[in-house]
Amino acid sequence: MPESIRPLMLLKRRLEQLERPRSVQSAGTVPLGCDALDARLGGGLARGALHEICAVDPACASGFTLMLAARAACTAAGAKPILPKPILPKPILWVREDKGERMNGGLYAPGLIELGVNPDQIILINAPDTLAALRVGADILGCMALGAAVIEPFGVAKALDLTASRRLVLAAEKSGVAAFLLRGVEGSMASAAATRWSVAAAPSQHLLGQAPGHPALTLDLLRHRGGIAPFQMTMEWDRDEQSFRQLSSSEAALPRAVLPDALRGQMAA
Amino acid sequence: MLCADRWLLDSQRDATLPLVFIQKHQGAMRIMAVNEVALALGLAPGLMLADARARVPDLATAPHDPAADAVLLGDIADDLDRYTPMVALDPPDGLILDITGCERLWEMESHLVSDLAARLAHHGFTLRLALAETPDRARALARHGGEMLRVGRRTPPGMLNEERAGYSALGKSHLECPVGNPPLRGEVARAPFLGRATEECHSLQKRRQIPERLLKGGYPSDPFQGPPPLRGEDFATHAIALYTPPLPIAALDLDDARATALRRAGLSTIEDLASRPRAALAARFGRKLVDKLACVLGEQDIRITPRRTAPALFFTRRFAEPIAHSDRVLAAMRALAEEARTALLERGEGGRRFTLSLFRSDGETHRLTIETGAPTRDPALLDRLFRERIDALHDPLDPGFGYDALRLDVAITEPLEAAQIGLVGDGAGEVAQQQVVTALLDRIGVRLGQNRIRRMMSGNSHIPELAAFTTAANAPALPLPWSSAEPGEPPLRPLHLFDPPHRVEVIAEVPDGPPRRFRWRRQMHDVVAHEGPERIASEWWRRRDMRGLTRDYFRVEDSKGRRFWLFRHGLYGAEKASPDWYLHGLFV
Repeated sequence: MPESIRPLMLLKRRLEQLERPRSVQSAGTVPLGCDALDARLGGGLARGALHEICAVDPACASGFTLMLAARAACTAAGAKPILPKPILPKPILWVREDKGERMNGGLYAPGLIELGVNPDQIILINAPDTLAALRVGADILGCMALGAAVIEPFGVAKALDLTASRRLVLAAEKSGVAAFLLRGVEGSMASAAATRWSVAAAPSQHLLGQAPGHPALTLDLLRHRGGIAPFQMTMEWDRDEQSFRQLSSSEAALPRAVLPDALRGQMAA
Repeated sequence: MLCADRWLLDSQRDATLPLVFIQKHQGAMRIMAVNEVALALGLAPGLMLADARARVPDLATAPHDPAADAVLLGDIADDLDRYTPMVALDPPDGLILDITGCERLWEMESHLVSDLAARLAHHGFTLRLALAETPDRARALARHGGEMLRVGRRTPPGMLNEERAGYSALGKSHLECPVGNPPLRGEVARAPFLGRATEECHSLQKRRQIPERLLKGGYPSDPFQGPPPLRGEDFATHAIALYTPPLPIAALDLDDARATALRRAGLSTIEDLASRPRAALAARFGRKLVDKLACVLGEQDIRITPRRTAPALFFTRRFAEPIAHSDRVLAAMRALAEEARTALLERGEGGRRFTLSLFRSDGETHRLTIETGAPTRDPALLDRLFRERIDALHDPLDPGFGYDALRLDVAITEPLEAAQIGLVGDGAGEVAQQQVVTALLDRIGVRLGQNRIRRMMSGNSHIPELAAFTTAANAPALPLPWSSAEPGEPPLRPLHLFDPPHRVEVIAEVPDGPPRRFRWRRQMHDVVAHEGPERIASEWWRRRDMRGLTRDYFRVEDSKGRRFWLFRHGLYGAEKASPDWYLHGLFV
């Protein structure tokens, strides 16, 4: 039916115009510093996109978010991921609800230093409720001068529906700021985020004398808008290099007497 | 009289009945305040209610409520902010305004005073006004100045306009308006003796009356106030300007003993005192009397303390027609901001805090305050922030019948030099970015409140919960340097800190050993790895008993890989028989 082709073409063109401009490529990506992980993700996480991080363990999820945000802010400043100079990189704005602080404890500045993040870089915004947090979130995502933005609604956060997350996505795409949505619960809430991660604690490489080792995380990619298949990896955070590295049992300083490998594999799964 | 006005305003009662305000005092109901009618019938504060009833059987009573009077006085003071930012309370029923320099907006002081008198009279207040060059003199004249102009409900507003010639242009002016004891009076002192201005006595008669009174000896005999030479036809005007009503010694606010002593000595007016040598007065009645006398005579000038801190700069706009739409309010604000920008540019300063006062035509005042993170004088930014502030109000602005005046205060200023916009490179982009972030935070701060935007500060303490704290991001602070982490070490401090710590049940192999197992939030955790103890002593030097419990911190990892920061509070045996355990933080 040749007469129906023309309207169809027109419709297609109109839809293309309505479609948002694909600015994701132009904003670039944030490499995570681990070749294996970056290869799986196709170079890293997209800047100018919203990434959703669901917490199994609250401290680990906010730690992972902080690591990503720090990497995004460093590379956003045009420097190498490692920070050689004392110049302050772009600020990271962290919006959280009052309730979240009461429940999971406050961010502790010496702890940030231990992860290699400069506390002066972080600006905390305490929102009284979810709606205020989302509104502030949409506002700050419009600001191009930010290194990264973290929005942390508390609990199930019913106000954060598909429309609300889409609003955040659009703001992030427009400004090219790396945006992270930190959720305290697991679940399959509808959202327009580019990726969704689930983060849990992983047993660390114990140091000499059965001391707990460097931060270890089990990262679960649950969804990727770019079509990358879900996968799971256990990563370790290297504070001095400010990058992730793979956790391999061969590097262990001592044989692990307490936790058998079989059990470890079972728990990671 | 203020309470009588309040009573009438509140309940629209009949103003022609005698009304007294009573309170139980020393076991008897006593009159604390009276209205005009009751005063005319000879009732006065201090009288017992029973005695008053015997004299005036149909007496209406109301409870005396000084708190409500104070609130009303505060509201009136807010409204009078439209004339000058320097308004001080003179409790229980007076206000002192420093109108120095403010008369220029009104061309003449007399315009300002007549507008003020008309406004308050229109709202139904009884008042006495006095204008003088020092606050104490204005106060004395207003409260004890004898026959003075009366402005009240029964007097047509605007009447004072006829008396313009009576005011002299003064360099410094203070206006006192007690809403005070003898019925509603408007007094304009030092300059103006205006005579009694009730219906039967009009301004023309007054003019004629004045020279007669002067001849009768009402002329100031005060040597310190020496009459300047008078010339020809100006005589009447100057005479008015210089005429001072005789003030009673009560104007000095003396205690009873001194007042009696003065009366016994035959000194009943301020003029009597002023004509005597001060040294003799000081010797007999004390230094305080002489000081007070100098104040009341206007020789000594003690400035008022305004109820609000006077802003560095303020800009006012009055409207002929009240405006009610917020867009028009903001447009007027914008015009004021442009004026402010010019003034600030001249001073090389920028404002950190701006207050917009909206004066409603019915006497209500709304105030909006914004703060910025960096000094600014940009009208567009102020416009945006005030818009945001209005949007964020819990109760939207109620314009009523409209706002008839607007004032923009620049409350806090800081030096701000004109900035050179840098070329590409050399950190110009960074400065611009910094400004963008500051503007963003200002906007959010206006909506949520500035203290919801926090930044982290080093606390200079070895106690973990005191080692870091957060402050408002725009608060001035001297940041201490952060300690750096040891390379190659795992994190020794948690990312999340609980304040206060959570109490946990711990099972340890030995009482002073590391934890084996603990219960937190009803869940059991098996410890598979631990490091510690890291012993942190209490700040015993801050305690009176020089003691305090030592904490032993352990970094532990449970069987699922979660890492916690636990501590034992108190040394086993030495400090405590069975120390408690707490969970203080969570590691990544």
